[in-house]
Amino acid sequence: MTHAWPDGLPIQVETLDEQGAPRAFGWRGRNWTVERVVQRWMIDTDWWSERGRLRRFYVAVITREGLLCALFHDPEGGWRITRVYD
Amino acid sequence: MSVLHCNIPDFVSGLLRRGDDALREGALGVLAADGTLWEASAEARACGVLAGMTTRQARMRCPDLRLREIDPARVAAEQAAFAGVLAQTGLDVEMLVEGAGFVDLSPVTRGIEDVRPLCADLGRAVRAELGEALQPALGWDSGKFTAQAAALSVSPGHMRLVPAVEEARFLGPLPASLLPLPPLALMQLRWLGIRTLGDFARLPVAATLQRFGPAGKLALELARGHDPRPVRPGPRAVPEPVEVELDAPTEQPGLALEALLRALAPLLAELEARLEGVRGLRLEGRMLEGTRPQLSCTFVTPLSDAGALREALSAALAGAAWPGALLGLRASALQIGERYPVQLSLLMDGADSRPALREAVRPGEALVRRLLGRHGAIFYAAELPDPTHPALERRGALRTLAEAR
Repeated sequence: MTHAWPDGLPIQVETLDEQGAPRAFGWRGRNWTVERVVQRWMIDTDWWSERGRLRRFYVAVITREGLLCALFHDPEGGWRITRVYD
Repeated sequence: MSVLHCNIPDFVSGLLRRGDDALREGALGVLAADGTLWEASAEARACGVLAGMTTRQARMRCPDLRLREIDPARVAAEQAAFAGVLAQTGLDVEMLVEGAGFVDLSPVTRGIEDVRPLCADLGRAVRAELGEALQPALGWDSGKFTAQAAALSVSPGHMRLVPAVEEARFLGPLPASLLPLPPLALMQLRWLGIRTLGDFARLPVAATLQRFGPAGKLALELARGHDPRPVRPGPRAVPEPVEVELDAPTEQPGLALEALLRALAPLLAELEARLEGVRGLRLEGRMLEGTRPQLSCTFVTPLSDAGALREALSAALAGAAWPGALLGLRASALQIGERYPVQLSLLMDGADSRPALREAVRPGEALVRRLLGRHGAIFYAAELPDPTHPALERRGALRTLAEAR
């Protein structure tokens, strides 16, 4: 089952690759090494909304352990994990 | 027709306040004989207290609530005085509930110009008779329903006259919960997204008849500003008593009650089609020992659905606890009345801030309150305002049941 956290859970990112995706991240007390970045996309929306503008950089990555997940970087909230695909 | 609706909000609380200065301020609840709340003052309603709640439920919502028992004789006397003032006009008067009645102005008025001074005089006469604490709100229209809605849309001491050309514009934005339909039908309307009388009035007649029966068709006419119901002066004809005999004696009043409800079903269906209900009745048991205990029940609002009647009568029978086995049950002295919004107080779903329209008959509210009271905010309703939004958290939201409503 795919797990989704609409607001995202904070993750620890130390280093980024040349295109800005994490090389590894810390989540739930362990380190996950990114083996492949499957997809990248950006959103810049809701500047008209009362809830505030959203500018995010998303990446879908596969870790060395086989985890396929979606991460995003928010200028205000830092790096977060938002989905883990089963 | 030319109909005036005269409504004194919080009639019973007002009576209590008039006689006791200590009750003038703060939340006040009036207790019925069965221990449930008959009426809640505006301050109590602001805390979420509603008629029909138990004392415990009411106190949970409003710890400062002061409770006083209803004095039926005094309320009846004041109601008679109120009816007397309306009757002084010499016109046909139909009393609806405590503090509310219709006057048929047809013989003396031709247009809105004639009505205004007459309403003002009547308002003054009611104030003079009942005191400043019991000021009436007046509504006028060519039909009872719109006149009632008009009276509910103004605060006490004011009047709202709705000319025929403004009926649709006046009724359109009012909540559909104003319709005197049974709670289940109101709930279905809400599920269908029909929130206002304007939404309801636009429905096709055939579809309304198919889904809600004759009551729905009549309600559709009301929502469109055509109320065919005349002002009926004097007491209504009392239906014949209904009696059931059981095959074998039983100590479970519930079984006898089911048989009685089955016998009452044709009458209830007939009442529902006319948007009426049973306001009160007398239950008489025929016991194995030969005794015939009696029980009088008066309901906060006229009931026409068997479920609500079952609930009310079961509670009354449980409270009475007749000893011994029942051989039969008889319902007599059935008081019939037109259905009307509970507490005559309504809620606007929109931005209307008129106080009388802010509180609503919200179908299903009782269930939500019960669940929230028992389990807290663990029930959620999902909303998907923007299902294709690129950010997950902005596609939808979970709200607690109370917020979502």
